[in-house]
Amino acid sequence: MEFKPYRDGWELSGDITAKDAPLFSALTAAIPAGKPVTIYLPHLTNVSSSAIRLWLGFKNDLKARGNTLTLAECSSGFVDMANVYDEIAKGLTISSLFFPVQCVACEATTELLLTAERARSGALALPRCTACGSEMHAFIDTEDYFGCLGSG
Amino acid sequence: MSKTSAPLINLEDPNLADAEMVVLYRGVLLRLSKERVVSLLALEERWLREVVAGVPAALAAAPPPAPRKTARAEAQPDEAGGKFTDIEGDIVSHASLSYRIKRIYNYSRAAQALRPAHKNLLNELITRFDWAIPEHPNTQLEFHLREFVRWVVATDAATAARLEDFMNRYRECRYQPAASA
Repeated sequence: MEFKPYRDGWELSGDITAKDAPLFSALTAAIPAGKPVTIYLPHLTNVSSSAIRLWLGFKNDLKARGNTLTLAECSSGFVDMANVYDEIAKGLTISSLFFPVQCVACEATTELLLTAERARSGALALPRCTACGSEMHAFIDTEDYFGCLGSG
Repeated sequence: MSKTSAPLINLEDPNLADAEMVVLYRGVLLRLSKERVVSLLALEERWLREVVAGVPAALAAAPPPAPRKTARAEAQPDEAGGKFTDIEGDIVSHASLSYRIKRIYNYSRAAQALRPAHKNLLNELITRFDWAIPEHPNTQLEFHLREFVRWVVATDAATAARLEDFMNRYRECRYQPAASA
């Protein structure tokens, strides 16, 4: 895993593994206590099952320090994990996330960045395939995929 | 032995290098490249060897699995409190594994495909699995795993083989008499 300052917050990228405890400690120390913080996850590829403890510890540490955590631009890999492990997104806000869609004709896949409000509304307005112009469709059940958002 | 009128195909024929074939594999009609057909045949060949030998190769090669059985039915994970062994410990209990597999199954059944993150997760969980299998596990774990294999077998032979190996070992441990019995 890597992290760096990004926009108004921080970006985490790569795979989160059980070896990333020092990085989470460093990130926690770098975040001013008592303030809202946004973590961007567009390039987070995977969260190892053995690293979920670290993630939960990171969340709890921020909460104890008075930070309000918002996740933005969550990658589909992160969302896939958050929908199997409810604890990952519990108690925090997801403001936007990537949603994978597939072309009905050529099966090319792409990911749309959606705000949480748009995702909850169900008004997805899927684009045409950039490769062949055919319609795109949601191949993952939207109710399941957006389950990590909660009711907002 | 039944006869078939289908022509024999030499998969080593260079004219078939870029060919695609339509095959009925485990009840599913698939359009596959020659390489994929060969990999599936290898998978089936390995499975048949295991059946003939009577013991899965992975099980034979692995250290003694200590297939002990608990006397009571497994406790369900505390979903509300998040008390899962796969989060809190290094070993994944039967209850935790079957619960995660059920979540992945429900999430994936519309697409009938496994997400890459879930393939990684399954691999990690079965690697950390605690082979203390309850005597009467009230789960659909085997059904869900069979479905996963069916979904990925045409596109990801490695994951299919890994899950099949796990299922073979699971059946051996679950259905053979306990070592202490």
